[in-house]
Amino acid sequence: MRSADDILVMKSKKGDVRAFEQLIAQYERKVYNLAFRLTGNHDDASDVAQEAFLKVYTSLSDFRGDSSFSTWLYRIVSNVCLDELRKRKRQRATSLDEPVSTPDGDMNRQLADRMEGPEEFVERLEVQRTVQAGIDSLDDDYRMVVILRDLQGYSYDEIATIMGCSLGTVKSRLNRARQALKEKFALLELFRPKYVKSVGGEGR
Amino acid sequence: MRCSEIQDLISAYLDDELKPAQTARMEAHFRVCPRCSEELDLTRATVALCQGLEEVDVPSGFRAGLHGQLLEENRRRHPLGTLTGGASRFGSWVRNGWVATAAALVVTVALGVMFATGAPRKPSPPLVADADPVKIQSPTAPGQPDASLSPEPPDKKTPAVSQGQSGQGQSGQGKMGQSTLVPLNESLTQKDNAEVNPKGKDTPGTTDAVGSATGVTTPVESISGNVTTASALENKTKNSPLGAPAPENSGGATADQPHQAGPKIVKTGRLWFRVSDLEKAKGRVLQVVQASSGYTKSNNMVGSGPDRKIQALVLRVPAASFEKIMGELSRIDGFRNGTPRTDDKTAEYADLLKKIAAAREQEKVLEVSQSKATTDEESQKADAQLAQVRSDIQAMENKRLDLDLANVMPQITVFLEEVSPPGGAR
Repeated sequence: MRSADDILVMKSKKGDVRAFEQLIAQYERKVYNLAFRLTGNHDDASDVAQEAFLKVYTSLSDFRGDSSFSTWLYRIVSNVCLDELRKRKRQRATSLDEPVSTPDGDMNRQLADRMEGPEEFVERLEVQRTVQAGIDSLDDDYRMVVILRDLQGYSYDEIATIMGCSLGTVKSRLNRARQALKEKFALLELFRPKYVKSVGGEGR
Repeated sequence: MRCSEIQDLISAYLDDELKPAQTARMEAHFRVCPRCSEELDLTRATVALCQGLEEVDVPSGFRAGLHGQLLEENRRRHPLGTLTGGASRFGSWVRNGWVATAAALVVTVALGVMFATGAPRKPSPPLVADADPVKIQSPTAPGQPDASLSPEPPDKKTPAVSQGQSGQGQSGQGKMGQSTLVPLNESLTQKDNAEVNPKGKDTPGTTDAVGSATGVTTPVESISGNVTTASALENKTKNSPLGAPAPENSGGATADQPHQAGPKIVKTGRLWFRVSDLEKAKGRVLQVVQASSGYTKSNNMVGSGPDRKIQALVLRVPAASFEKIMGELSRIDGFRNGTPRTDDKTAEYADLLKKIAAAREQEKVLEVSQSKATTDEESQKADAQLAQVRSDIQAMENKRLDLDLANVMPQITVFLEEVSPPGGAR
């Protein structure tokens, strides 16, 4: 663990808000994105992510430094996210209404980078929106595992630690989650060649 | 292996989580079983589609919202506050959130640099009477989304003083007797903890500041161990020709790197509207832009269906009016969301200049070789190298121009989505 972070953890435990904010700055984007993909909209994502960080803050006294801070943080974040999801029972159809979020920036540059015209650009946004809708249709645990794995790239072991379950559970959950998604995507007619980017070439 | 077993393991197979023997068996099965093979492809495609979801930006205001909650939590835990950097003898200091500022009034910079920077001002949040610097807008760190669309920022200096004084009153700062501290609060809205020393130098003994906040007597020039840096800062604020400082651009708590003269701040904005009358909305957008001396860079209809028309307007507006224009645009009917963003490209720009200079040097060298070339072969080689370097220079110069333009006339992209009233806008 970097000693700079150790110091920040120490300070944060004492209630140094600024130190805490520095400490969590590196996780902010990922945590927000986790919340966003879980909830499907920005309002909830903001609430949930803030709740999660707040919980991390208030739980600092439990952190003994025997595991990595980031794993410990994600553990809490994941729990809070799932709790919040359960609380927000209402089906959000908003993911279909929600203007699709893309990273900000020069639209023309984005278009140029991808060598696509405005129509393809919007079409791509549509695809993303539909994919999000597919994810929204999953049960909470399945949603979580897919996001952790396929959007945020955590390993099976890391996911097991974060979600507090066994490796076997991760494997089966992920498998079922992807199957459910696959069926949903098929229904939504997403399996057209041009929508699917290759996953780093052939083979696995 | 049976197909049902295979299907259970497809995910693990894709993620390389199987033992070699299992993997081999899977592959053998895929070779002979078209159904499972297809399942594999579809699962792979499913993963690819998920991976295609782009990371979203954290909205501006997120940090501020969290910040407020954290402070609230602190207040809940320690009503009299004995936080950050040791006990403070003055409870009310702490309640104000000054504690962190006061406790850290030890060392270098930030403020001195902040004054010096030419960075454009960021809109300040509606000033809050509570002296706690609870912000509505988060600091504008490079690469972070900017302050979100908010009402026209009030002039910083005047309200700061008056608001601050009411803030003072509220917190019962009487014993401190330093209403002059308050402008510091406002100017430091982004920093609870700014390690502030207006002189920009280390001053021994200022660690006592927390416990010994005394009067606003010491002028900037001669900081003693007793004076609160805050008050000295106030003097500096008054003396500074720049007046109220712009909020620090980089959002770090500790001494920030000094900005070079002429920082290259590139702002971009994106707004999304849902309207029933596209032409009307477009007209209003253009009105706003033209009133600001901006212009429309491009205007594309990007439809994705007969009943789904989207107009994408790319606008350029003067940098100084960027926030104002974003605000005005956000008030047009049909506004759904919008994200302004600020990127500090100063380092990138400086780097680019260095590269251009180096390339030009190289160009000169090559020109000399070219003139000295005696054989055809040498001549051709020199020509080719020269052409390459020149093309590189051209590309870099274009990039530099892009940055300059983006700095001076930031770009705003407006998406207007037209929905027909019966089925449509919610």
